[in-house]
Amino acid sequence: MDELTKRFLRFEFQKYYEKAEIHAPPSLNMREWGFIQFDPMPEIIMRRHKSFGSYGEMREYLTAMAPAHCYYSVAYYAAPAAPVMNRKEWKGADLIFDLDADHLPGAKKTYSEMLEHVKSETLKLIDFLTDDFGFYENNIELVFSGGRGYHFHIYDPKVKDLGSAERREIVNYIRGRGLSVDSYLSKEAMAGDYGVGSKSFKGMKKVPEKYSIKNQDTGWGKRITKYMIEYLVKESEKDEKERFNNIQATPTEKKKLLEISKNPDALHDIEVNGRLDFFKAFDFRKFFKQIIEMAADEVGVDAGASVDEPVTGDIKRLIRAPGSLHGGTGFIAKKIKLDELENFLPLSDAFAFGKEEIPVRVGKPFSFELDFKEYDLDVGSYKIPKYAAIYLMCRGVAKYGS
Amino acid sequence: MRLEDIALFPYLNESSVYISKLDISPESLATSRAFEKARRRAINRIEGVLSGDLSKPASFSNESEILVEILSYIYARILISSVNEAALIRKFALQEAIFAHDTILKNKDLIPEISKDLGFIFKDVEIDSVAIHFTDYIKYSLSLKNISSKMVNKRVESGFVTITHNEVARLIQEAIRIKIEFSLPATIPDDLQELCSNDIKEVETIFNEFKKDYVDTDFGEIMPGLFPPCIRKALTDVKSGVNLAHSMRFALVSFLYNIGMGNEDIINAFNVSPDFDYEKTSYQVNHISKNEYKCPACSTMVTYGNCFGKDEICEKIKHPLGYYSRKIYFSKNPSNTKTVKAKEEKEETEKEISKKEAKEKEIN
Repeated sequence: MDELTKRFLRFEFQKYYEKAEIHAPPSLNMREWGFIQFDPMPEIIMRRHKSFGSYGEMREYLTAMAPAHCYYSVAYYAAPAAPVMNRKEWKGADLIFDLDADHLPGAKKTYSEMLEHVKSETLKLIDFLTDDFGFYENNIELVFSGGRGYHFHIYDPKVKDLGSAERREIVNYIRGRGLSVDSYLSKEAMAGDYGVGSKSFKGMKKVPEKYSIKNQDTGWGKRITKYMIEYLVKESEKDEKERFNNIQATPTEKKKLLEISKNPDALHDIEVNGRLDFFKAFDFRKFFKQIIEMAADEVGVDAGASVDEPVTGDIKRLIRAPGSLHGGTGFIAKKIKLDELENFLPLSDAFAFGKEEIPVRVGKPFSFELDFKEYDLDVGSYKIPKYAAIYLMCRGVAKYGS
Repeated sequence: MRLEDIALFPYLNESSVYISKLDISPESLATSRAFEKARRRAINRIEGVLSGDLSKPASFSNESEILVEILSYIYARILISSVNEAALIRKFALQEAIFAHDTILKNKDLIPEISKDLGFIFKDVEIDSVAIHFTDYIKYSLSLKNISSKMVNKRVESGFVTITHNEVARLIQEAIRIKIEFSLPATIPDDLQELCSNDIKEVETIFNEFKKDYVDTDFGEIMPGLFPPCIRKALTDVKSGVNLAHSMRFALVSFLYNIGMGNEDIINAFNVSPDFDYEKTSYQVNHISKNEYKCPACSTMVTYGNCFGKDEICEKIKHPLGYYSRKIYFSKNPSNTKTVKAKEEKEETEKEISKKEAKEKEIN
C-alpha cells in the first residue's frame, strides 16, 4: 500500500468515524482494546492493552486515529490496560460465536456465495440460541463481521463466568457432536391413531419392540424428528433407483420406508408422538442411527471444522468492534437485528461509503461483485464507485488516484 | 434448613451464616476444653477422608452433638489448610461431596434447598425430575464422561435441561467438590497454627502414613534433577501448559510411577493447566499403575518422536529408567565416577573393535 492510498483511506475512515453510530460495549471500562493502523502496512502491528474510561474517550480515539481495524476483548477485566494478561484480572466474558466462511467446510467459491452459505448457518444458530439456550433477543447481538462472516455476542449474565471447557461444550451442542442413538430411542409403549394393528399393515396386532423417539418435541429430539420426516418425504419424491440410496437398508426395508413416507398419518404420528414402531421385522435402531448421523451433519451448525471452536472457547479473545470499519474491505462491521438477517445483503447493506466515482489504478487483474454489479478489471486506471474503490484499496489490489 | 442438615452440609452458605452467628473464635476452637470433642472429631473426619469412608452421625440426640459436628468441620479445615497438601485437600473435598451425593439420594427432599444454596438456577421440580439451567448443567457435568450425560443427549428447552434426581445429585456432588476444593487452603495465621501444632502434627502423621501405602520407594527419594532429558522436557512442557502427545504422556506417567512416585503426586504434576481434569488424569494414572506398565524403552521413545535432548549418558543406556538409576548411582558414589567412566571407555573401545570386525566381515 503506497503512502497516498494510506492517507486517503485514513482520511475516509476518519470521516466515517466522525459521524458513525457506534455503541460502546457493555461495561466499556472493563474492556481491553486493540488496534491496527494503516501506517505500518503492509506490516500488521496490533496495538493492544488500551482501555477507555468513557464513551467520549473511545469516540475521540477512533476519530483521531482512524484505525484500519479495531477490536475489543470479549472479556471483562478489573485492569484492562495492564500490559500482561495475568495482571488484568479476568472477571468474565461474553459468549461469542464466530461464523466465518474461511473456516466453513467445503468453502464456496465466490465471496457472495460464501456469505450466503454462512448466512444459512447463522440462521440455524439463531434457532439454537433462542429455542435451546433460551437467550432473550435483547441479550443477543448479531453483527456482520465486515469480512467473511457473522459474529454473535451473547450478553446474558448467566454465561459470563463460563470457562473455556464449558464454552466448548456449547459448541459441541450446536454442532450435534456426540449425539447418541440410545439417548433418543425409547422403548416405551406408544399411543397413536395410526395404530399398531391397523389394516394397512397386514393385520399386525403385536409389535415386540415399540420404539419411539424421545423428546421429539424439543431441542435435538425435535430437530432429528423434523429432519427424519423431511428426509422421508424428499426420498419418496425421487426415482426408485435413487431412493434411500444414502442409507444402508435392504430393498424390503426401503419399500417399507416408502410406505411410511407416502402416508401423511404416519408422518404426523412421527412428528407428534415420535412414533417409530411401524413394522415388525424392521431394524428401526439401525435406520434411526443413520438418520441421527445425517441430522447432525445437516441440522447442526457447520461451525467450522476447527477454527470456530477456539473462538468460542477463548475467554480472552479480541473481537472486532461492532460499528467499526473492517480495514480489509472497508465495510462496516454492522449490527443486524435477528429478524433482519434473512433479508440482509452484506454486499450492499454494509457499505460505509457512497456511490460517487473516484479514480483508482488497479495493479493486478481482479474480478468481484458488489451491490449486484459485476466487475472484471484488468490492470489500468478506472473511475468506479467509492465503496468499490475503497474495497479494492483495502484488499491491496488498487492504489488511489489516476 | 434444619440444624441437623447444617451439621451434615457445613460448607453450604446457609451453614456459614449459622456458624458466623455462633461467634466462636478460631483460637478458642483450637484451645478451649469445651471444644475438645470437636477437635477429636476433626481428626477423625480426616482419617475417614483418607480411608475413603467419611461417615457422619445418622442422627443427633441433642444440640451439642450437632455443634460438635459443625465445629469439627471448621477445625478440620484449619488443620488441612495448615498441612497444605494438595492431595489431602482434594480427598477432603471429594469425600464431603460423595457424602452429600449419597445422603441426597436417600432424602430427595433436600434437592431444592441444596441446589438453591449452591446457586443452581432450576425449576419444575417433579417427583423424579428437575429442570436445571444449562449453564449449571454444563459446569457440573463436564467431568462426567459417559455419552448420555452430554447436553446434546438431554432434553433441552428454553435454556433448561431436564434431568433425573439421581443426575442432579451427581451435579450437586461436583458443585460441592469444586466449592470446597477451591476454598482451600485457607490462610491460617502463624499464631493460630502454633495453637494447633499438636493436631497439625497428628494430621501430618496420618497423611504420611496414607502416602506410604501408595508410594513404592525402591528408588528412594525422588530427584527430578536426575531425570533423563526426555522426561525433564515432558515435565517442563506440562508445566508450561503444552499438551503432551498421548505416547509422551504415557511415558511420563509410567516413568514417574516406576521410580516410585505416588499416584496422587503424579496427578499433581499435571495439575498446572487451567484445563486440568482431575478425574481424567486420575483415571489414566491409576490405569497405568494398576497394570504396572513399564516406561517405554529408548528405542520406542525414538520411534514415537519423544526422544529429546540426548546427552552423553543417553548414549550408554537403553531405557529412561536406566538413565535415572545411573545418575542416582553417580550422585551417591561420586568417587566411582572415574572407575565407571574408565570401564565404559573400555567397553566403548571394545564395541568399536567388534564393530570394525563386523564391518570387515561384511566386506569380506
